[in-house]
Amino acid sequence: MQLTGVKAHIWQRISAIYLALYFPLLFWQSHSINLLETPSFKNWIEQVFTPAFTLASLLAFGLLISHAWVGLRDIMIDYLPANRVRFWLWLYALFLSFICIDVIALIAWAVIPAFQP
Amino acid sequence: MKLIINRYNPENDQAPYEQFFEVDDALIQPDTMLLEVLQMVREQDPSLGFRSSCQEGVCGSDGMNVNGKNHLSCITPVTSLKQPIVIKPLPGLPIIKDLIIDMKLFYQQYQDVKPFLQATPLNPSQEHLQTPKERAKLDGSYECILCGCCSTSCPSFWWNPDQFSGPAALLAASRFVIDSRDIKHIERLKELDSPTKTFRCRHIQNCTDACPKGLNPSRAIQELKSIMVKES
Repeated sequence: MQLTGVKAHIWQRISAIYLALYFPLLFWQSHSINLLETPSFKNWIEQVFTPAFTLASLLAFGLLISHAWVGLRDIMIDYLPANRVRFWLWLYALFLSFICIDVIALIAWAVIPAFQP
Repeated sequence: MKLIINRYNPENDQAPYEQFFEVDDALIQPDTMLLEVLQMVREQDPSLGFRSSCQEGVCGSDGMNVNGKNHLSCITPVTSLKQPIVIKPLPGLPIIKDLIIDMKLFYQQYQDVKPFLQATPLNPSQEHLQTPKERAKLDGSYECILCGCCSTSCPSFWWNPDQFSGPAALLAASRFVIDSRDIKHIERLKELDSPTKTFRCRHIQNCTDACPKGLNPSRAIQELKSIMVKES
């Protein structure tokens, strides 16, 4: 919430470039796997999320959150009544935090066990 | 010639309203400017309020919204305008009377960017010198006449005129940031680094389209952002 203008601007651009590269790669990874023999979530996770791609995906998630934060923060500063902007920004930060917690829980519950033998 | 002019006198009117005027076509020459037509209208109705001073596009006092676009009336040929000519005050700032707006916020934003050279103490025997190349960088940014056509065509300035500096002030800021003689370069960039000042600009180019002097505030703001990124 305390991001300066220039730092937010830099993060917005870095995340935009990374995500522009990541999503086609995700599509390619998902498209090229073979689920016909054993169609299961575990199988999908194992084939798509190789260790290198998992790392790239975690980075993409972090950058997606930062991109969403800056983007909607700017819209909120522009359009919401100035006296309530801080409250709504705080609420929005809380919402993004819940998403982060949710994704961490999903990784712990579903992704990590998928790699267990 | 037909004109529809927005009228509003806060002392008598609840809200702005439109008034229809007609000027004899025989009085219109190919080089007649809109300001001259407004002066003819004022002969019909002396209560019509609008600003004008130099009447040749230098002082920037007669900015107004004509057929949906901001213009200086003194350098806008009426023959180039579609009729009826719809004239409104510059949008986004409070109306004082008819086409006269309160530009206090606009000037405040301009003042906040410290639009003056902050150089080393002047040695009376020698001016602050610049190379021709350094001087050439200032072309396109010092010619602003502060008419307000750019800032009042900018949606970001409409929403937050008290927070967003606006194209005119940022063009002035850019002019001093790139000036080789200015020694407050870093301080200027720090002051502009705020989510509400420089970075509310979305580069929709309304300012560049509206500038009656043919300047490009949007490009100046883009360059200002690039300098801030490089030097952050």
